[in-house]
Amino acid sequence: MPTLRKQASLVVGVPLLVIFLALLGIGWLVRETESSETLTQRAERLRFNTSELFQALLDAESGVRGYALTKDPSFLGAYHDEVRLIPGLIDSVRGGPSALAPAGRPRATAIAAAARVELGLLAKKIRDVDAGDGSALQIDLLAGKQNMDRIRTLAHELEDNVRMRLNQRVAEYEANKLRLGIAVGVAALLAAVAVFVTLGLFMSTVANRLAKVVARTARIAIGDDLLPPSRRPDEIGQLDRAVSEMGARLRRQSADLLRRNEQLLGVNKDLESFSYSVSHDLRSPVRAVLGYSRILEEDYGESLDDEGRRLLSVVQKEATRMGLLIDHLLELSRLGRGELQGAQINMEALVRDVVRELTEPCEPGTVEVEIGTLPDAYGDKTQLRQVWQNLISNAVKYSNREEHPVVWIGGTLEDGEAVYQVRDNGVGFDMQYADKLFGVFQRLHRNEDFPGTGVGLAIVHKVVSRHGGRVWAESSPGSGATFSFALPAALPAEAHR
Amino acid sequence: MNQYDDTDILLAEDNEHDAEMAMRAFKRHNFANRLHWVKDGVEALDFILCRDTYANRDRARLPKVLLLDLKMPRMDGLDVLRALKGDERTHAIPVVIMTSSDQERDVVESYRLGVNGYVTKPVEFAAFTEVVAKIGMFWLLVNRVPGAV
Repeated sequence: MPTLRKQASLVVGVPLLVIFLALLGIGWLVRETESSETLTQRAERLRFNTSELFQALLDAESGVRGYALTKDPSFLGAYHDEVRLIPGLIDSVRGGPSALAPAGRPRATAIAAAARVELGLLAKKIRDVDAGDGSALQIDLLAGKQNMDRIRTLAHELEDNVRMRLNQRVAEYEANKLRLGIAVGVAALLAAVAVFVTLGLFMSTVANRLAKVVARTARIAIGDDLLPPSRRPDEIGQLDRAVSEMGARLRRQSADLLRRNEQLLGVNKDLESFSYSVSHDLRSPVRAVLGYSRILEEDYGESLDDEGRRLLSVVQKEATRMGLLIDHLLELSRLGRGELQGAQINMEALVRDVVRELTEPCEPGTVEVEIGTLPDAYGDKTQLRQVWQNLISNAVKYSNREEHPVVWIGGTLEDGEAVYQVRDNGVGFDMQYADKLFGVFQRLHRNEDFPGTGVGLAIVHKVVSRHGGRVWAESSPGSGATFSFALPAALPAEAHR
Repeated sequence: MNQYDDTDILLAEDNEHDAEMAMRAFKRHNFANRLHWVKDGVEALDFILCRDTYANRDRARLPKVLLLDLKMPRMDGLDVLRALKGDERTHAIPVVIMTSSDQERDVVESYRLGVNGYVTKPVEFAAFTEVVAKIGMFWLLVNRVPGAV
């Protein structure tokens, strides 16, 4: 699978290969330098051997010459010493130039041959002396001198040959060195270019393809990604497919949500038309019962006895209660729907308004209401007015039988939350039923003791919950109750709908 | 002169008990003989436009107020309101919606169509009687309509 990592290793690998080849070239150059040094050493040895041979021949010759002049055999000691060494020297001279300087080979051979001739001549001179043949000796001496001159000339020529060859090789080597230097430089340059080009191509391909993935995420963000994803097997291809899959899933989910939302809207609409019907159709019979019982009372009240009038008043009372229940139920269902009209609310002004409305019909001095400082909060004013109305009217209702009924209203600001309290010194309730307080139609007191429909606190709970707040209550029987609720003090980051 | 020609209050109400209670309230304030009761929206339009049963009615005599229930068979109150306020001959007739519904959307829609008043019928009879009396007082005795002397 051609992953990006493999592509990246290729990007690094190609220049590395170029650099490796350049290193090989440098290695070869170094070896060439070494072989040229050996060449110089061998040339030096050949020259040394040649001059050794020549010297040995000279020494042998001077020994023979001394013997010829004095007839003293002790002169021949040096001759015999040299003659033993000379064949070895001849061999080394003859083999010397082989690979070194092919042009010098005939001369080396010639030197070797001449050296052997010289050995022959020297032996013959000794025989001439021993035979006392002076004229032959003269001839041989002359021949020896000529032969030695020839060897000297040949030796010089051989040396020239070798030196020439050596110079030539050094020049070749220098030329090679320059060429290789250039080659290495070019290779390094190529490597650098290779690095830049491949890396550049690689990076721009990667960047271009990543940009496509980024563009896809942007399309997903606006819910408009329909392009098929990349099929390439590398990491960017995988990323593109994953992002595309994510977008497709998002699209499916949001379509699901939309469908479900439509269903909910439908359900909501049904509920709304239900409550509409309830509002319209349930009220009419109640009104009829109330109206006709009143007409009955007005027109025929005098012909009824006390029991008849009592029965009629029960009908009226219960029908009135039924009407109230319907109204409260409608209120509860209305508060659960529709958008909250959020605004910053001056709570103190709102509460004073509600308290005035609730206590005005009462005889002055019946209920004492104390209002402490109340922090402002964010919410729907109409609905929160309803909350205050229900809580304060409850407090008044349940403390009304005390000798000095007192309702205390206060609030604090805690961690960005406005917490409000409505406290009374009324009958209170048993905390073990506290969880039932906020349920619809849940009542902790008998209707005869404290009339009510059991919807007020349910409305409080619903409104406060829709505001993202909490509501709770504390009490014990006979010692009053404290109802508290908390609301966001300022506009929440995400507006509630 | 037609028996319908001195009608000042046209009451469109499908619920006979509501109608009876309303008429009782009007009677108490001596408006009853000037009231005519129709049982749905179609009949209300027939009356005003002098059609069908009301063909012989004097076209020039229009009621001083139409008390209109919203939910009625055949043609509901909002349709009647729409028809009346969209017709040059009838758009001047004062129309007061008198209904059980206190749904905000009904109130909004009624005023959008040009209603002259919107009253929710109180469930309590005494309150109901009082509301009906006030309506009668205002539209028949206080209010002035074009062409009236």
